[in-house]
Amino acid sequence: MRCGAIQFLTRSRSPIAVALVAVTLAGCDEYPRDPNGTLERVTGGTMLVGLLSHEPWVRLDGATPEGVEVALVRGLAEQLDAEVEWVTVREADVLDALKRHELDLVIGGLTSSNPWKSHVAFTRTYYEEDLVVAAGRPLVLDDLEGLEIEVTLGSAEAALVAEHGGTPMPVAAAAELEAKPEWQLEPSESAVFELHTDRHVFAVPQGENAWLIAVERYLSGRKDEVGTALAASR
Amino acid sequence: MTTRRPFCWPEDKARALRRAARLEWATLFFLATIVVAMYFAMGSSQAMKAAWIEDILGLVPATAFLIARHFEKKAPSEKFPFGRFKAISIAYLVSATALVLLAIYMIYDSSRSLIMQHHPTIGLIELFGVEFWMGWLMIAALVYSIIPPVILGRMKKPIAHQIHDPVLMADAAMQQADWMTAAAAIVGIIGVGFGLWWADSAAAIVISLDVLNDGRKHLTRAVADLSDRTPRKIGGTGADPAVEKVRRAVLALKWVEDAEVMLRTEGHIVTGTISVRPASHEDLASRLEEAQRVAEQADWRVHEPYISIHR
Repeated sequence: MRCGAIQFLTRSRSPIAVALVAVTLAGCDEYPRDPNGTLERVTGGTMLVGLLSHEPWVRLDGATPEGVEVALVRGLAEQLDAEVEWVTVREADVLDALKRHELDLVIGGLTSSNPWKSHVAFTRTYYEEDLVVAAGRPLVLDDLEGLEIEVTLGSAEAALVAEHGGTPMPVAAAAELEAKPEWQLEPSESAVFELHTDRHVFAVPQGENAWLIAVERYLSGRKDEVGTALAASR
Repeated sequence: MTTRRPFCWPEDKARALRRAARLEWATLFFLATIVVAMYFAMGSSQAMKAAWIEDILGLVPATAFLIARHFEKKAPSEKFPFGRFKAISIAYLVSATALVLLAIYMIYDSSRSLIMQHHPTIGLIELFGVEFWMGWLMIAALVYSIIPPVILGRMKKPIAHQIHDPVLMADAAMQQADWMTAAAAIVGIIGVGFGLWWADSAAAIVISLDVLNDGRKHLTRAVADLSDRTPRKIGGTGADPAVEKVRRAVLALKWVEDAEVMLRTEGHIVTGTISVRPASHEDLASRLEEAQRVAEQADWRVHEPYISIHR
């Protein structure tokens, strides 16, 4: 029995061959590559970025786009010595354009649960946004059964509150509890119940792996930067 | 109410059989770990998906063998007077069918992804504080998926020969060839790294065709087995030497003028009809018993062949 195993490992050349290939390629700068050469084209060239309006990630009310994610893209473009061309069309069209490789990147508060996941490629989560129920005083809640909670009507928080048994109320009702993202908490408030965590991502075309890695590398470790920008936008 | 005699395994064959069962349990364990590892490393690679499905398929012959053994061990009863010897042949047929059906699905799925121009997206992953391309993790999972099956397959093959078990033999052969599947998937992923998006789907199609070919070979054999075909050598072509051994043994008897054999396999045992022409009709009862005994002694697998008289 032992003979067979040792025989296989020493005689068979395949594991060694694989190891050699892997080590060579891993050290290579240009591996992996993009089938459509996106990273190569963007570096020192133009980056086509599609925008979805979604406060505070992307704000389209001024002359130029602003927002937390817009700032991140500007930083990425500077790193790649690229010029950004902002593209604003309808949401479905923007993601469709990305799918067809007509755009390089799409941003706008996209989360990993977005149904476009199977048509475009999402980066790894670069920021986790906690949606919580906030109260003016420290409370301990097991569920939201029978509680009235302020929400912005039609938002995701409204649906989540209802799911946990609470009663969503419009903001004007001025209830004691309010559902909001954690970074929107006032200094006097504290989070008493966790509703959901939104995992924020950027979207790139499928299969452009070198480009995806470049974007992911840029976004990695910027959680604190994003946190500060969100707090400032309050 | 009469039943067949229970079959007695010779001591060394019984030991080999027990060893085979242990190896099949080990196969189930290692394949389960491989299936889990591959599931987490899979991502959007078609080739890895095909390799993953093939690894799941590897569980079928092992499970079939263990279930069949459970039934085969039961002694002949009033309900099943001929015993449960066919359990292993049924297990073989089930395994082969599963292979063929899944191979067809795999070919459909990977062809579709090639036609739809599916570009596999493989980005970064972080493990133990290090960030690296996920393709390396996939390749690592594939390399791991080669090692246990090939070693186990190599260990099972001699036992399959020894106890003349077609399911074990098919299982061993498939596992030994598993390295080709992983190699194809690895080539596919490295190709994707070079920007060749189609390398992944192409590798998946190659793997599926290989599985289909395996399934076809085994399905043909399993059907032949259950159709009472003349016994064949295990793991090769040509007639099973046991048939000729039985004929010669019976012919060697003094009172036998001529003998013809019509044998078939029923799982692990060889049985059937031996037609003899005796020199005279005296003492027929004990002579027939003698003929059956001699036939059973010719090969360990022969069990209760019927002796018929012809003029």
